[in-house]
Amino acid sequence: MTLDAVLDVAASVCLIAGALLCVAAGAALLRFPDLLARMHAAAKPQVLGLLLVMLGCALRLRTGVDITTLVLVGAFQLATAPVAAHMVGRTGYPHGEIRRDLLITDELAPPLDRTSSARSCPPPPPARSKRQAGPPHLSATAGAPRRRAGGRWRRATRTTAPSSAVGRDPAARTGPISSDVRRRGLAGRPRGSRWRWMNR
Amino acid sequence: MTAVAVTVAVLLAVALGLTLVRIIRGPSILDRAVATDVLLAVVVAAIATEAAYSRDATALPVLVVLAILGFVGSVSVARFAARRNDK
Repeated sequence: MTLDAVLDVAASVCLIAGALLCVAAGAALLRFPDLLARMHAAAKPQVLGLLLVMLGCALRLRTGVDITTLVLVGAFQLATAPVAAHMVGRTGYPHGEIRRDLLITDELAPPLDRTSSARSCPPPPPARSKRQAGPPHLSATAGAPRRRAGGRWRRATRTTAPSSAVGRDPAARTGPISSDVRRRGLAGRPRGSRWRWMNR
Repeated sequence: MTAVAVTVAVLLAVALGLTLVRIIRGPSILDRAVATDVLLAVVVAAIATEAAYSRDATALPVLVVLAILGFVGSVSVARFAARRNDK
């Protein structure tokens, strides 16, 4: 068995394994329940399958320029897939695309309370309007500037008055995430119950 | 090598079909962005398989372009278009 035949067999194995991983990524993309799981399928098995296909192609072509190009493509995938997945997950989290009942832990909840309140916070309830009056130059108009005014206020409260009930008690935190849950028709549960797995 | 190429082509076609179903059914635009990323990666795999099958390196620069395009596409969708979802 010559070296060419051995390399061709290795290339065939790599190509088929890579194609199988692509099928696995497609099936996972179709069957996984929410955005984070689909993002996992797009970020990990897909990149591994692509790297295997690149390896098979390089084993088959066996010239310096082609191997350089394929290594470039593989390195680019390895560098960009985590960034793309990170941005997609970071964008999907405060927009309610993620099923929080499937999360085991939610490490993004405290920082995303700030980030998402700057983006998608509904107007604060009027019962607490004594502390929720935004800056007057931001709350002059309705709609998005008002929401942004709520975000400004929330951030200011977090930094200036951390001893309030909003800042200290995690069960009483009424960030925009729980507001989002409330808006999406899951109302009636007690406060802080976005950690629904804890309450089972 | 022809049998390997046919097998890989069938597998990649199945992956393309599954990904297209997710693109059509995806409840949000972020799901569609993720699925489009996977679709582009499968296309890259198909082009690389064709190059490996015919020992022809003509299509290899296309792979670099497609890799860059997939990254830019999904990041720009995640960065800009997703805000439209938020009512």
